[in-house]
Amino acid sequence: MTARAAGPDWINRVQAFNALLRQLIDRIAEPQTSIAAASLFGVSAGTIGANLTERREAAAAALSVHPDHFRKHIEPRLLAQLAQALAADSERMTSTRVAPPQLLPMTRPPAPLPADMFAWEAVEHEEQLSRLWSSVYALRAELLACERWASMDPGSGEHVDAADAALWRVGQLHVAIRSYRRAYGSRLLHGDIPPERLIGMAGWTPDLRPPDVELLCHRGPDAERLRGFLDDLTAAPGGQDLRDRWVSDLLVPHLIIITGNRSTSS
Amino acid sequence: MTINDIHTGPARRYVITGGPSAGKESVIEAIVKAGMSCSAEEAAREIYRQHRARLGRHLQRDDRRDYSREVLRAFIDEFKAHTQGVRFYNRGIPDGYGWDRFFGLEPYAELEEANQLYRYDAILVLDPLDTFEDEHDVVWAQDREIRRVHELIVQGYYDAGYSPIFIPADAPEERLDFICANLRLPRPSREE
Repeated sequence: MTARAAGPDWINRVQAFNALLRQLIDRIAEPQTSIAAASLFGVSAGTIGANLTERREAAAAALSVHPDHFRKHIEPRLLAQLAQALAADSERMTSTRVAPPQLLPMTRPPAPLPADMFAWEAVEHEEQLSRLWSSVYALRAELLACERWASMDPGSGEHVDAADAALWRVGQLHVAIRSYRRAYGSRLLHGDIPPERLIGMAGWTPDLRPPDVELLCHRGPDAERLRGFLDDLTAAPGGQDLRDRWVSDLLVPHLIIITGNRSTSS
Repeated sequence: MTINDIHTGPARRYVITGGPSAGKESVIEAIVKAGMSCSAEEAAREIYRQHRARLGRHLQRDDRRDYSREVLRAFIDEFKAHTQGVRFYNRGIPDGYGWDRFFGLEPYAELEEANQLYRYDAILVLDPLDTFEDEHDVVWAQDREIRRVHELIVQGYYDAGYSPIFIPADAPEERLDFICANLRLPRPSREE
């Protein structure tokens, strides 16, 4: 229901559920059965507010059967049918927004996008989401490189370069998050998490204070060149300090492990 | 209802709606071809283009209310312009509920008020045409998003107090026959 609800609270979810239930009842192919289901669930005129016995009687009357027969033989089938429809709907609407959209190889050109603004906007949202996730994976790649160099060749300085690149990528991700928030608000649409949570999905990163994020976002991390970004950042007031803190905080866990391993082996 | 009533009888307003890929344009084309009054163009589409051109970028959350109000005004004008006979509408005022919900926005006062004042006689929801060639296609995020829009639009009509009539996916002419049978309108002639 989360995907359908206007808001995260339970009232919105109940409203969404009620609307869906009515939709599923209206979709029952056999008209009399549909009327009976509407009576049973109290969504048709005259049954709203009635107790279960009265609603059952109305449902039985719609099918011209005795209430006992309805209760014992028809009602369980009806409930199973609606439960199945609800499960199918849930399957269809399940949000996978906290995981990257699943991609499969396309072996033929896609069907043309309808000339429909709803389609344009739905696709634009998907486009923004893909940009967000591409930034998440770009950061993840640098964090992995950082770990690998720190483990493989800690004296080479490559791990510091990787940490610099990670800082550049985390800046890009913050820019993408800000852009998403301006367009769609403080939570991922239909995913119900703040977009900032995506940073943690790339891997562990040192905490950045709000002024650090502000500085990162304003030093052009979306520019294509890492070196230009670093030069601009370190030339700005507080930029060198931010960069040094980031590199040292990011590498501390690796250095502890490396040092620990060395002392064990020696 | 007679042929005359369709054109000169009391005003009757029917909404054709559904998400993208529901085959709305084809059904509307069939309605126009059958000689019935219908809004062929979707007013909101042009407003959307103009709004973006004016802003010079995509719509952001803060822009959406203005945009929604503009679309609502167009729907109200279209509603009021019709005074007699049967007319089909390419989407209706309550589409705004579903659309706002897609963007996580609560319904706003003007929309609620318009929904109370301007009531359509029937809502016809076109079930999505099954364009997926195999079951894996449905996992494409774009298709999921579009399906979500459809579901939210339907829910919006329930929220607005309507009980929509669902039109199964079929050829446009068959769908029009189904619509006419449900609305007790004369079946359109297929003669060229």
